[in-house]
Amino acid sequence: MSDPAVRLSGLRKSFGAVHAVTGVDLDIADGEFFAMLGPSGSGKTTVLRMIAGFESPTSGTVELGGVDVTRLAPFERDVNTVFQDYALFPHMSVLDNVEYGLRVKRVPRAERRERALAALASVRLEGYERRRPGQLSGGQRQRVALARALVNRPRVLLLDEPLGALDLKLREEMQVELKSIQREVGITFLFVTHDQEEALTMSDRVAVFDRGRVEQVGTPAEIYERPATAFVAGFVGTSNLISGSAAQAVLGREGTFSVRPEKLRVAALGDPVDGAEHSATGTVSEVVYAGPATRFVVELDAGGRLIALQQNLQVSSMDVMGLRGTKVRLVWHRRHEFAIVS
Amino acid sequence: MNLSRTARTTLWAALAGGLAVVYVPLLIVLLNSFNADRTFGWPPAGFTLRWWEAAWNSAGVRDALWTSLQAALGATAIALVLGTMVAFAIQRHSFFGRDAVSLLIILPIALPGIVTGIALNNAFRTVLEPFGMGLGMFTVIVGHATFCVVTVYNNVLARLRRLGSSVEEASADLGADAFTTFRLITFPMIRSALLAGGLLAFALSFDEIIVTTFTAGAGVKTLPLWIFENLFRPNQAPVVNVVAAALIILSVVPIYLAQRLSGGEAGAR
Repeated sequence: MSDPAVRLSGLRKSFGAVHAVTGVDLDIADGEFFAMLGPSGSGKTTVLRMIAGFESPTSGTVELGGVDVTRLAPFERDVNTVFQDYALFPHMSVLDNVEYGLRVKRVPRAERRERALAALASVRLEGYERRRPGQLSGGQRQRVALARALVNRPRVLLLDEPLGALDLKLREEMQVELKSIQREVGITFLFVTHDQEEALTMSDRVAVFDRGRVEQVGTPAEIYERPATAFVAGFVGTSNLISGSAAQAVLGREGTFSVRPEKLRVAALGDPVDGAEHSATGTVSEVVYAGPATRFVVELDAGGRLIALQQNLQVSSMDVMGLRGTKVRLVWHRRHEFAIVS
Repeated sequence: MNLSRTARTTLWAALAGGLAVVYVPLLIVLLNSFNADRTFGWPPAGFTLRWWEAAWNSAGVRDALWTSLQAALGATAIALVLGTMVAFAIQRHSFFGRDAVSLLIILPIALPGIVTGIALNNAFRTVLEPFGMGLGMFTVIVGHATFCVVTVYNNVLARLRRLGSSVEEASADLGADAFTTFRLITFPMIRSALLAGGLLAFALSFDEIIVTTFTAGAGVKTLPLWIFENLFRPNQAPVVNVVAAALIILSVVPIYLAQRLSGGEAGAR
């Protein structure tokens, strides 16, 4: 078993009285596409900056490929970063930007030219070599930043909110493109995002951060289907909690439970319920028609509220709007409800 | 915004009037430097290069020009080094009293020259004289540098603020050490700000008279001091006029360049 590409052990970082990172342990495997997901201020960017070497940890260690790099300067580490604002050098052409890392490492001119052109080709930017960053669109700048980092063939590529500055359409395109570039080059990608959808669609594994700690690490499916804590349940998708007396009444159990909205079926009060299913009755307080699906907000008779998402397979907005204010029964399979730590 | 015809005409007239007050006298100085009439009668009696020739051959003018150049170059050099250093300190580090330091750096440009002049004159005489040093070129340079630092500081500070530090982090991330980063990234990006600040500093120093009066020793005569001395000597009047005309040209060029350098970059971004 080879060493992980990145290993973080007991990593902490405090800025004066502010504890940005309060103990992070993570192993990221070679070739993995790994996301650090969390709200702003959750410490994910600080962790990324400690891996890059821009911040030194208050305590704990950073290992790259089994080598402790905690005390090394950024330019001594085999990682490269795609910055949130891209940080392209405005006084250099696109080609000079991409060649920069090879130039300061004294790679011969011919070889660095060749590698830079190949890197630009891999991000589909042939023909832009002579442009200045100021003459490029946001999406093109993003790809220059990517090429500038990838050309060095780092052990790990760090991406800080790489798609944050792009508009929605471009962001979706780049999600697909980043994923395919990563598969092609086989470099470990470690990226920071606050967008749960982005984390779920792109990554092999996700670490969910909250208040300087990792709440849960897992595949997107694990994170979504089996959130370990109430925070994860709420941050990744809609939490839909059943707790306290409602849990007693509906499930006959103590604790806090969660069911994802799309796992709920909106049924009539008298509909039969399978032995493998649970159900709860309530009143529809809100109906939101969103094209392919409709969102129902249901106030449970037992207390609390659940949101149910139904695909509009055979219904139109006229049909579903009429359900507001009516009594319904929400039905779900037992295996889709899960206990969470609150 | 749409203005009525009358409003537009009035505003244009006001602009023209304002500019005329400033620039017509300058134009007259320029024209008179070629005026064949020694008493500057109007209209000019004829075109002559006699005064330019006389000024060129005047030892007093040449010495004064050379003195002024030395003072301005010295003050600009000090301003470039100190202004850049303090701009980096203020922009890149946080330390106790940072805002106070920033204010203290900027203050000399607002301070009346006469106050700076008297204060420096007292200080220099108290501190330097016991060491056997009198007022001279050195004290003029230091006096000018007190306010020249501000122009470099302001230009570099504004540039650093706009750059942010992420390009330097990117450079380090790509494998460059601190010196390489400065050489390839930071310096090229602040170069035009340094040039703009330096040119303004040079122009400020070159025509300074008040602080100079108080800090120059007996042997040091800058061009503005020479002009002031010879202004009221009737036989020198045409030559003074030529020197003034030359100064106009000399000071327009650096200001124009400085403005293009600091404005041009901003426009390109």
